[in-house]
Amino acid sequence: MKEDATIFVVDDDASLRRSLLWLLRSAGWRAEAFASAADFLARPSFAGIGCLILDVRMPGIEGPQLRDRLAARDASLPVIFLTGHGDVATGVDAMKKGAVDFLLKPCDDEVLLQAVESAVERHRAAQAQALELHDIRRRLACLSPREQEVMQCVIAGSLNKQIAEALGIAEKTIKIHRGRLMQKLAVNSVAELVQLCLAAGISPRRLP
Amino acid sequence: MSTPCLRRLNRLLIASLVLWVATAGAGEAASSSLRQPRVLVLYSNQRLLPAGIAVDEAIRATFETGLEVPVEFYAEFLDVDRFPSVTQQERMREFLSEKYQERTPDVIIAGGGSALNFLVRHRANLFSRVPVVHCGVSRRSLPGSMPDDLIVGIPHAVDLAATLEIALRLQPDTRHVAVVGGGDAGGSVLTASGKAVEFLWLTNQVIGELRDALSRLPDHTVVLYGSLFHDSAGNAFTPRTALEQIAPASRAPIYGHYDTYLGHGIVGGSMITYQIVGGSAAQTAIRILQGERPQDAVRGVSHTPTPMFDWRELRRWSISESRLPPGAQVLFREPTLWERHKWLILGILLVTSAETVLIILLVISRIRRRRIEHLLRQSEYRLRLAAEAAGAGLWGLDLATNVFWLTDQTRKLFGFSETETITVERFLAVVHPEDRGLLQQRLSELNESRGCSSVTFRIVGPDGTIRWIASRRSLQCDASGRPQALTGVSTDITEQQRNADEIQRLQTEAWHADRVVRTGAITSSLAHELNQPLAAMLSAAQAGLRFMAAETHDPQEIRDILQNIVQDTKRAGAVVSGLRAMVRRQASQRERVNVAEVVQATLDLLHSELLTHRVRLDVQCQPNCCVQADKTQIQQVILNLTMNAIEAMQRLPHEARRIEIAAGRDGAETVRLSVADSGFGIPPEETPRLFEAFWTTKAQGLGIGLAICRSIIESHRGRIWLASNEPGRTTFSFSLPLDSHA
Repeated sequence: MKEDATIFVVDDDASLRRSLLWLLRSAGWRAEAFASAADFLARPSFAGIGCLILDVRMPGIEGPQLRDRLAARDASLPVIFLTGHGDVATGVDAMKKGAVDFLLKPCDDEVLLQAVESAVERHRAAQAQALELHDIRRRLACLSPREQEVMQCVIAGSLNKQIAEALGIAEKTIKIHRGRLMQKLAVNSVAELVQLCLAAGISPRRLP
Repeated sequence: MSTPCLRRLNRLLIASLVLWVATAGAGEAASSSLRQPRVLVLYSNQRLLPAGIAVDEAIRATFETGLEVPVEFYAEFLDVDRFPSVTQQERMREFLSEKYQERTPDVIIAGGGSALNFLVRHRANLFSRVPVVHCGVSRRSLPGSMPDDLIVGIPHAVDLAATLEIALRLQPDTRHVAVVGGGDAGGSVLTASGKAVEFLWLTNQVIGELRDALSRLPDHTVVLYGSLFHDSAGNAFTPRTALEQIAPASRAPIYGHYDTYLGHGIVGGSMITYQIVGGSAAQTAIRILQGERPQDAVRGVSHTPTPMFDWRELRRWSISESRLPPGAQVLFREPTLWERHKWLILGILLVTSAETVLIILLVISRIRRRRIEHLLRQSEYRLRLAAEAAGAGLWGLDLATNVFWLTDQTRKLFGFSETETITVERFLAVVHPEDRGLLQQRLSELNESRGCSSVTFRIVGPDGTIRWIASRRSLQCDASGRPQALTGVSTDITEQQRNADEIQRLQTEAWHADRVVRTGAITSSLAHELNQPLAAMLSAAQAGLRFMAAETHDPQEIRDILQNIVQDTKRAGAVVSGLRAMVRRQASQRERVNVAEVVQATLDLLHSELLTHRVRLDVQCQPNCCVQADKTQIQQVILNLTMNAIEAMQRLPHEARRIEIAAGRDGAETVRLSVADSGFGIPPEETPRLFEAFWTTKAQGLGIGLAICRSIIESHRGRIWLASNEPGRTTFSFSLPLDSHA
């Protein structure tokens, strides 16, 4: 499982970089190290699974800044902050901005590896989820506007009759739409439909 | 021709021949006339009569100047007073006639009335056609008529009346006038003068009686002296010798009218000098010789009498000169004391005044000296007082005898007794053994060091206590520059020395405290600095363990890991030792320090701090600059300055924060290091007090950082200052002496 993931280490301290690489490799991870944030950004963007271990205080672009940059690039790599300073403010700020973890140096190997593993898992899950969502959206995009309307009413729990009345179409037509959209969306029950819509962020439409 | 005739003719011929030769040899003198003029002077009296001598001299002198041609003078003396008889006169006439037969005078000057009368009486038989100039003949003595007009002359106005007038003027209360000599004619003149006086005629007396009579004259008497040629006893005199005999005896002043008597006993009178008489007669004679007619020649020559007086007689009779008539001549002034001994008096005065001046100068000098002595004593007293007050001991060393002179204070200072003779050896005995060498060296260096020098040394008291002494001494040389003596002042500086030691100690403490504080301020950074190697070591070691736990592992990799751990351990150790050095309490140790290395060591300590504050660093250090310094202390200064720089840029945005550190040679003997920040700068009103202790504008802190930097730098004989203070560039620089030993 670790073969498809890459761990990135960005720290200005050469010795620590080397040590971390050794550690990660000793745990079976694939790892790459960079001396500065600029060096990392120069790398072609990474689309796979992995995580980023960042030293908070670095000359040039600092850890948090890099994270912001990455977020801007919509690269979803999770970030683990590593720091020698136990600065509460920086830690809180980092966590608020969505860092996965905040570790103090010197760091025990178990702690670090654990953090890496959970970060990778999360990334994996997030990636899967993102994939799924992408698929859902694709499927949703196939729906006609009427079908979309109907769908929204259905997930609100409305009966066909009510929907037909509301939209001013025959009930029979509603049933047809319903059947079609269920097919398109590849869901078998209303419950699945509801979950799909939740995932997609589509809100139900309550009828009066 | 008969033989007597021939003989006469022959004699005539020879005579004229001789005469011609004689006159031819006379030369130029006989240019106008064939022969020299002949002048015969015929005197009434004897040759040695003073009047006659005076006239004769006058005549000759006048002829000398008045006539170019030399004149032959002949003088004859009738001496009628002693040979008055007619027979005698006849003999004289015959004698003169025969004598001057061949030498007839060209002009005759008759001196006196008797001579004139003689010539007139015998005119027919004697010098019948020769012009005669008479002189010194009074009017009364003139003959009634002259036989011819060749006899001319100026009558001698014997002014008896005038003399009497003068006498009465000088002595107004005269009641009696004694008349001596002068003849009856004089008497009539006198009585006719109409003066209210009684005349006493002292004539026809023997010289001795005359003298007595004069000595018995009553008061208020004057004596008129004519000419006494003989007394009643028939003794003949020159009137002057007669005067000389009677004048001293006289009780009254004697007045006369002949200038020749002046100086021999008369007070004075109205006189015509015989010089004038002779002179005017000679002038007349000269004119006659030059061809004038006698009657013409005598005109225009005249003489007037002058009042003349004997100063000595005036004094004898206490007659004041103020009573003298105008135009009076006073002769025989005795030179005053001054005139007589002018040079002697001047000499004495000179010597006296010189002596006086000398005495005055000596007195002044003495007064001065006294005053100086007093001032000196005062000064010495003050000096002693000051020395005692200051606890200073005065001393002197005689270099010839090697013996010290010491004041009581000095003796006390060194622990000597009051009477002991202190030689150089004795002195050195109380000096601390370690300092003896120094002092001895200083003593032997004396000849080179002119002027003042100082030395400090320790002395050991009898109980073993050590005290510090500071001596300031000056070398005195004699006139030729040879060292003679050493004088100086010594003070006990034990207290000061202890204080100085204490201050030194406190300073070291203060510096240490500052280091501790500073280091404390960067504790978190230091912790971070340690963390890095520690974290690296931990991860590496754990990685190593994991590798080893796997089935296969690469030994080389393990080796690499272990080496990494070793390096990191050293890194951590360096941080720790750097920290330890900073906080160690130790005395100053001076050693050769490479400036670039010190800068780097400081920056290592500050690495995290700089990172934390996001400060960009620019370091330019010349590689081989070394100074003789305490490494920790210099590091402390650089640390201080850099931390100040970081603090100064707090309010700047991150991108603008910059620190530049530069170090290098500044001139031949100095190393300069500067720390510049890009902050806002220091307000100008604060710059004067920057380096003051306990002065700060910061909310926190004691304000001793820069003060300590200064004390450290200055203890290294360097300088620290604010080099630039502009917004955007504030530079602190310090300089240290270059350690140039290769």
